[in-house]
Amino acid sequence: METPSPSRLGLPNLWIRSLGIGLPLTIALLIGSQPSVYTQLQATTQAWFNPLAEPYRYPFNASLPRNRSAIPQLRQEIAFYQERIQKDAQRGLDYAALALTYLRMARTTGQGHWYLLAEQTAQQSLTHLPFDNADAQLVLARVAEAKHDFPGALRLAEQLPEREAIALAVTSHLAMGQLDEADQAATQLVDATLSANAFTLQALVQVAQGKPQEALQSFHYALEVEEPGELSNSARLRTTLGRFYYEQGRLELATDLYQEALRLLPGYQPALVNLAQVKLRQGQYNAADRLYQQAIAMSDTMPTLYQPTVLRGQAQIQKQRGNPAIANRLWQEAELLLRETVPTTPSTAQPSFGHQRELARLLLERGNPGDRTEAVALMQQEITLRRDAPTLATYAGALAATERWQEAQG
Amino acid sequence: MNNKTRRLITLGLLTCFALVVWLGMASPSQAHWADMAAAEVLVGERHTQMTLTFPTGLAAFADSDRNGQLSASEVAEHRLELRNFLAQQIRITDTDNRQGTLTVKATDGATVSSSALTAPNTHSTLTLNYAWAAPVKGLTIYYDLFLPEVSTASCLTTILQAGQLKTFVFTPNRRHLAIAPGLGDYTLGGILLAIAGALAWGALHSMSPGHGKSIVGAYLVGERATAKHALFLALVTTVTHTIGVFALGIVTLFAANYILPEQLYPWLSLVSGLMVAAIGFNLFRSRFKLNRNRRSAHSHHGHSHHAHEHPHDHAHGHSHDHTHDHTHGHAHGHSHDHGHTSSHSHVPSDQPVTWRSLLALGISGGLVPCPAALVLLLSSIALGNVGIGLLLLVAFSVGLAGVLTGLGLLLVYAKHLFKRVPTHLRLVKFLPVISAVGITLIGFGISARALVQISAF
Amino acid sequence: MPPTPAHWQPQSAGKRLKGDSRGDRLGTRNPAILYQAAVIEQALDRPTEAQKYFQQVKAIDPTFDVHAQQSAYLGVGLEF
Repeated sequence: METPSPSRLGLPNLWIRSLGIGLPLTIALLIGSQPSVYTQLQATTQAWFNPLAEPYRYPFNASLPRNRSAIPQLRQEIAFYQERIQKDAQRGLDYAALALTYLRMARTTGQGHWYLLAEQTAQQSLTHLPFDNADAQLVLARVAEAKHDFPGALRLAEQLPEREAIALAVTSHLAMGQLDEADQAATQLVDATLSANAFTLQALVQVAQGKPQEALQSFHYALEVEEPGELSNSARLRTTLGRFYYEQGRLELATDLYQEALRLLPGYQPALVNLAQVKLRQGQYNAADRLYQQAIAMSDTMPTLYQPTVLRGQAQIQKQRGNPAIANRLWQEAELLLRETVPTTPSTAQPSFGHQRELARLLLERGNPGDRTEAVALMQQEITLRRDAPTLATYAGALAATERWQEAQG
Repeated sequence: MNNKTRRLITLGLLTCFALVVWLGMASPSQAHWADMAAAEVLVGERHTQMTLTFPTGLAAFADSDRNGQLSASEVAEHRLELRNFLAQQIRITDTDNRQGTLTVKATDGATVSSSALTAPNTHSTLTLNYAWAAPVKGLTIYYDLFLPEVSTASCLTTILQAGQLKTFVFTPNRRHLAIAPGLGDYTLGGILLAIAGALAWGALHSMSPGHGKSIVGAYLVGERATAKHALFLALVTTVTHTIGVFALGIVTLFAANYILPEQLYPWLSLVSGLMVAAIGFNLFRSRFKLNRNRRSAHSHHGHSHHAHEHPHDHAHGHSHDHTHDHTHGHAHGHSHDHGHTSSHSHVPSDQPVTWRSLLALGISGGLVPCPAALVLLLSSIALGNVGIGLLLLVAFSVGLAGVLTGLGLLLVYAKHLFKRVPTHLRLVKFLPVISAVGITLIGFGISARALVQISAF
Repeated sequence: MPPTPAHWQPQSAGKRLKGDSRGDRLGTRNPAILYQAAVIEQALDRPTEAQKYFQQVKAIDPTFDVHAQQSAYLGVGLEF
């Protein structure tokens, strides 16, 4: 092909030609390299070609807002309540409302600092308004739950209105492995509210009880009663259901459900992490890595409570790829995060975001002989706090790793 | 240095630029968290208040009863020590580097009874008040309250100023924050990075639906445009957009009691849509007429070509009324396939681009201000920095127009490829007309949507 | 209150607590946990019990394999 001369095309010099080629290339590179672009593109095409059938597909697409991030709205609320408190620092209810907003921010972002702010603000609220202050009590109870202080959460729940108390009872008893109590509370909650959240919690209890058919039925009830506009509940429901199918080996359905959750809430960390887990299991390491990168990117400047899990997943990928040095570095990073929140000595044991178990799992995954004893010690501490199946299984795994087979079998 | 090498170097430089901008835009490296602290900062004219929740161990000297919390009495007892300690670790200074006078007091929550608490608390909350004699314009916070040798320590800070909330995380590697900075607080590097960011943001923003890409594309495809035209179009769009955002910013700031900016948007969209539709309709008329004239002239076109390319030994004294019925005994027929090199293409029209049409198109493309650009300008103004805001706005508009430029130049570049397109295809012949129809439809679409929004008021 | 789901029946709200609510007899159907139990039984030289657990794993999740075991605790959702 004859190269057109500059004069014929009217392009005066090299710089304009470079701009003509280089600028679009540059922009394409900028866009294509952003980790969120892939998922956003996926989310858009999924809306058109959604493989999910009813009722798993979200039925309220027409009401989906364009910007599904709750964070800007939460920031505005924080600013609003901070201003009100600045004008009148004696208003206990404003502190309570601010504490609730911090709590929602913590749950939305998964960032632990917001729990600290929520707790501190709820305490200030109770100082100014010690009675009839259910919101502040609820915040303290939920922070206790997040810190895995389940007995503390149950104690605080006694002072809450019935519905809030029951919901907390379900999660706390479930986490501690007290399934009968959890089952009773879940039944009460469903009877009282008939909400999607209640049915979801009931399904979780039934999964823990080893009743998959009943659990699936409860999930279906939850889908039946889900309401428009509650995107985080709908995303959580689909993520939980996806995990249920994952554990039955139905990986495609699990993938579709996770992607549907991400379509509702782009960047929803539990769905990202679980989708990465599926890809990891299927040996699609590049896809899993991309998802982990996105989970990290979505966490803004602060690590989230899922960060250690993400790092462990990335370490597993590197291990499978035969890069032990990189895998070790990633495990070390996760270990550092987890250790900062684990008590240094058992005597000063304080629950703190439940990282003991995860640290023990990390130590077992890494496979260093020296880590196994510590893993056993950590789990011995953990089972004094909770005795649910995953915790007991991790303890058994730690015992097995140190060849204490009889104890592991018990 | 030959052309090829120069091109490679240029592409390499551009790629490096892309990489630098990408790195700047990409998420920061993972920040580890441990030793959690949190602070709420309220910025006033002469006072700034910080409510700080931090691990009590950092001020263990004041925890007399070793219960992991600083009570009101402990704070009162160790007030001076606490004040001196915190004044060293946390400094808030104004633009003249004067530190505010610090007073420390216990926050009310410190006396909450243990029944309301859960597990033993490890954090304490204090209220730090910084005061200046005169109103301050810009503040800098220096935060260094971390456990020694804990690289993963961090403090989440919310900063409320003039109703705007900002969050920042202090770490051992990030101890400074400038809030409401003046121009002098920015380094040159910071300003350049901000400009690069605004440029890239504008470019990325223009990739989202809207912003006239389809209109520019449809227009330039059908015209004999050159790079100069594409650049002019982009320039007009930039200037219009910048002026539009600035005007809207003025309205937002000064006329918000009378006009709501969100009420203006539909009207601007309507005007823009009608302009686009009018341009499209005019284009359609001129291109359609041209197409029709070309088709009717084409039957005689072969003869005039014929006269030029294939000299005959007889006269061609015919006019355009000449019919095909002649007895020259030529071997060729009257079709497009002349069997000789044609010096023109049937695809792009011979219609020259007018500067006026380019101006109108550019204005319509830049008329509707991007909300993102408006936010950029207003945020800068809120921070007391109109100059930087305008600079960033221009950079944003340049980025936005840059994409249009790239698109236009690509189309201009690609035009010579059209010469390879089989010219006998009917669709190709009608492409300029189709594109004009497309522009008109887009214009009507924009106007219709604007009308719907207006009717909703 | 949301509408009642089809075919849903209210359960007994006054369900009595069972005597034994220990968390170590849970009847879990988590294939990763059952797989681990099978490995432990193998190590204790109890092939029959091990085989029983392996069969349970396959019945719940026919595709469960060593990759599934390695990634078993890298998810979020069904536990706290």
